[in-house]
Amino acid sequence: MSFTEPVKKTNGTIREVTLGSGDGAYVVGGETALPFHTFEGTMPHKPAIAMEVFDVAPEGWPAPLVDALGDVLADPVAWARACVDTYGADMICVQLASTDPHGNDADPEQAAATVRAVVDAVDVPVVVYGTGNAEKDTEVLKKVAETVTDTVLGLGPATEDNYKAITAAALGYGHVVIMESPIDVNMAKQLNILATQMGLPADRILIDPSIGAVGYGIEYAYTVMERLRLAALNQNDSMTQMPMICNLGKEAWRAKEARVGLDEEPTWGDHAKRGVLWEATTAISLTMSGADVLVMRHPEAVRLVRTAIDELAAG
Amino acid sequence: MPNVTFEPDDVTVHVKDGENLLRAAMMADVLVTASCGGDGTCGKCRMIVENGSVDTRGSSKLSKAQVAQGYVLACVTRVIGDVSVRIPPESRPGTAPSRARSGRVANTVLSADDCGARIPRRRDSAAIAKRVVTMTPPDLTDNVSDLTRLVQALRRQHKLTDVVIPIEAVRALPHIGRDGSWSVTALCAEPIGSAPMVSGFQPGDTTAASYGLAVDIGTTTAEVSLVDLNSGEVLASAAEYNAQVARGEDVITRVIASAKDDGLRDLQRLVIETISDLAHAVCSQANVSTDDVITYIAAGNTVMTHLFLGVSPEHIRMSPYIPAAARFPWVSARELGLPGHPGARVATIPCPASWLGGDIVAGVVASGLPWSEKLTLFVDIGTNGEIVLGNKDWLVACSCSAGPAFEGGGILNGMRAASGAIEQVRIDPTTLEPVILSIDNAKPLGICGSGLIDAVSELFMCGAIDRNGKLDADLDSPWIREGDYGLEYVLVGSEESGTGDAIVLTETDIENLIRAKAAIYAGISVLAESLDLSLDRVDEVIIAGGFGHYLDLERVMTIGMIPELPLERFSFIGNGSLLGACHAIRSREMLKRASKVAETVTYLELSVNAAFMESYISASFLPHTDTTLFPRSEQLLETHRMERVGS
Repeated sequence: MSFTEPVKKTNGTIREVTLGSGDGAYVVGGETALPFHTFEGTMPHKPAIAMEVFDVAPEGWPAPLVDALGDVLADPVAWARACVDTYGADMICVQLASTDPHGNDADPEQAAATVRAVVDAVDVPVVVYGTGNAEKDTEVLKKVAETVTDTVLGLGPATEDNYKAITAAALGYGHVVIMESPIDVNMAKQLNILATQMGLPADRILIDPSIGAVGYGIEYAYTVMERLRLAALNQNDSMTQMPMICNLGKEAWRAKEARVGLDEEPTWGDHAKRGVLWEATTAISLTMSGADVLVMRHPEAVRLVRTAIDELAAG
Repeated sequence: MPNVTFEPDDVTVHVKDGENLLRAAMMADVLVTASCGGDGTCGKCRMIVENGSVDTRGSSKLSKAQVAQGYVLACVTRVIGDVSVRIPPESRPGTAPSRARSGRVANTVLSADDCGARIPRRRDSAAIAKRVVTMTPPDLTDNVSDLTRLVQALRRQHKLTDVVIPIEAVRALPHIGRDGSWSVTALCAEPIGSAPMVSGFQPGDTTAASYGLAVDIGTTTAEVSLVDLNSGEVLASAAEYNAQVARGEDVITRVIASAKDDGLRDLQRLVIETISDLAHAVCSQANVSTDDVITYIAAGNTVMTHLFLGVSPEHIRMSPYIPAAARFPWVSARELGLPGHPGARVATIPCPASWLGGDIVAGVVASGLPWSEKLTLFVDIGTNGEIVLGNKDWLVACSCSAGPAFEGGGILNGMRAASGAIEQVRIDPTTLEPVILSIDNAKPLGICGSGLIDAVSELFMCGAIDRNGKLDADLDSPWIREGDYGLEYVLVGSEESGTGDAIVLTETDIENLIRAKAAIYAGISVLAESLDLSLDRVDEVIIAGGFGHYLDLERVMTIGMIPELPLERFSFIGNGSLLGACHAIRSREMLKRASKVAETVTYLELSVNAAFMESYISASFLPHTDTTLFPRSEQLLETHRMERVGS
């Protein structure tokens, strides 16, 4: 008698969410099985990589990042082009760091203009992240939503404190909302219920579950993401069936292990490799727990992760 | 029970005799403007009595012509027999279609008799009772000692063996025996699990005057009932703030206070003083001499029981949360400083765990649960929500910290359920105008637990708050405004409030209530899950605690505090702790049953239960993150939303 591999049947499907428009439109989600379990169901879209572009030249970044990205750091448009043309990014993630009220406190109009310029410069979808300041993000993202209306943006993070205004803006201009909750299955779900009850279609939501990098709480994020996915697939829980986006570049490069050079830690080995691996390992771990969009920073980490995803998807 | 019919809504509700007409309208969900809490000053709740008779008070707000037409102010009108009233259009707060429903009845609050009926009839005697002992007088041929004579008689006449008789009693015996011509009344105490004792004597037969005091030692309020041990009747009851409140409002603060220098003695003194005052009050009320009080049975939570007996509760507070004792030995009333016969004894209802006390055990016994075949859920709603699930064969319990919201604590304008506390709230869905009723129909001073539940449920149904309890800032309503603490909902304007300031509900208040209700629901669901039991299999739900007639069960379910079950499965027991103490004082079998309940109940410690936090977060939403658990609530919400969209 031959051995038949046991196959777990699921009841639910992750929603397909479309970002961008026209030829540049990109669909994420759509899985009917756990990540890469293609023997149990389908995974119509491989996890997408959204490469980060900052609207203001980042300061104090570790050498490996500065060395890899070099002179584009001061020019968001050139940076975005390099990500798409040279590194093959599936999407661009504009980090509106300039709007931080504790930093430059740039006005919403200026931020919106940058997003406009990036959208015009590339033919891939763009997701936009504010700084996490609920009040300022509301103003900024509203402005971005109404400035860029010819394509579907991903707008976030929308939290319990500002989801109403951001959802309203996204609703009006047809954008996708990134709902951020603090590493908790129920809170992620609650935010989705609140937003859909305002009339936002469920296929215009991405879940940002809040994640930690390797060594900095990734196991919590992993478990919560896995549980969200299990609820979505096994219990057919409609309010957990949104694709997940992980804003991981900033988390990975915040880790001391990715940041410090040999001068500070002479025994930790080659800084460039170490930083790249920290980001890549974080990203690959998160794809294993259900990430559909990975927000990443280093081109070499992006290349490594893409190779891993392709090989995993090939079975 | 009288029927009250409201026209033109054409709905009828059944109310208790003498019920306030405005309350009847609230019960029927007939919306009538009322902003003064029901003290007759706003003059808005006008109704026209068309048939039947009512008892009403005149009001300067009504003209002679109106009075002649049958106009009354509903809040100062009581229902006498069946009555039919018409609501004039000017008494309606808005234009919303009526949500009124017929056939609703007041919550069944079980009376002492109702409870009695749930408990098997016992004819046994009290655990502490007076027994007449008749001895053969001594002579030269029968020259055994007085004590031996007594012990022999006790064994022959009352089947009491191995009786402990302390030296104080022996000292009194020679005189009392001879004064009573060798017939004496002995104060016999028969504790559960230890030797019987005779703690004193009286000459002759004094059994006619045997009284006991049942005591509920609440963290906030102490309540005492005087019970005639011969008839079993409750002669008088009284309640008073526990004087320990001055040392902190909650249990934890008291535990901390007890650990300070002399703190324990101070706290014990305070509660003893409170109970002594109450004992004197009920005795004088019933014209009973305190000397004839021979027993106290006290039920309290574990910390209160410790403090009452002067035992340090400090280790209850810290992991691994260990109490000094679960079952305490009986003590002399005199030693504690309580009034009564010098031989009077004090027993306490055992406390199964640090956070599951004798009050709950007493409540469980009073509700008849330990004899019931039905799967019963017993919920005591307070700062600590205690939940017991089981039937006559098994009991499982847990305790969850709900915070003080249900008692008005942590709420900006919150107060205890005392006179002037808003206890019922209805909100017009079109204008968001509140309709309020306060306890004793007094000028409103604040809001208590049931009012808070009503208000949040109404705001939710009206769409004025979202599922997170956040007020909708975009709603154009004079009742929603920016206050000192962010957005707030105005329940009572400053001109109509008894405090001179507006009574409002802030978003923080709503959040606190949601947390409190989430803790209760999480406790219930974790308990059921731990037994792999579906909550719809619960046959009966008994709700204990201060909430009674006016806690609106449908609204309690709407906010997701208790599982959605058919209303007829619910009953209210009021102060179950006191009721249980009364049962235990009348019958030793009952006291024994209470001990057995305390021994057999399985306690689930939620502080180490990972599922609890999970359940708590998912319940911290209106009504619940898993909306399939509350289909009725979701359906109501849908209907109301349609109404608003249509209006």
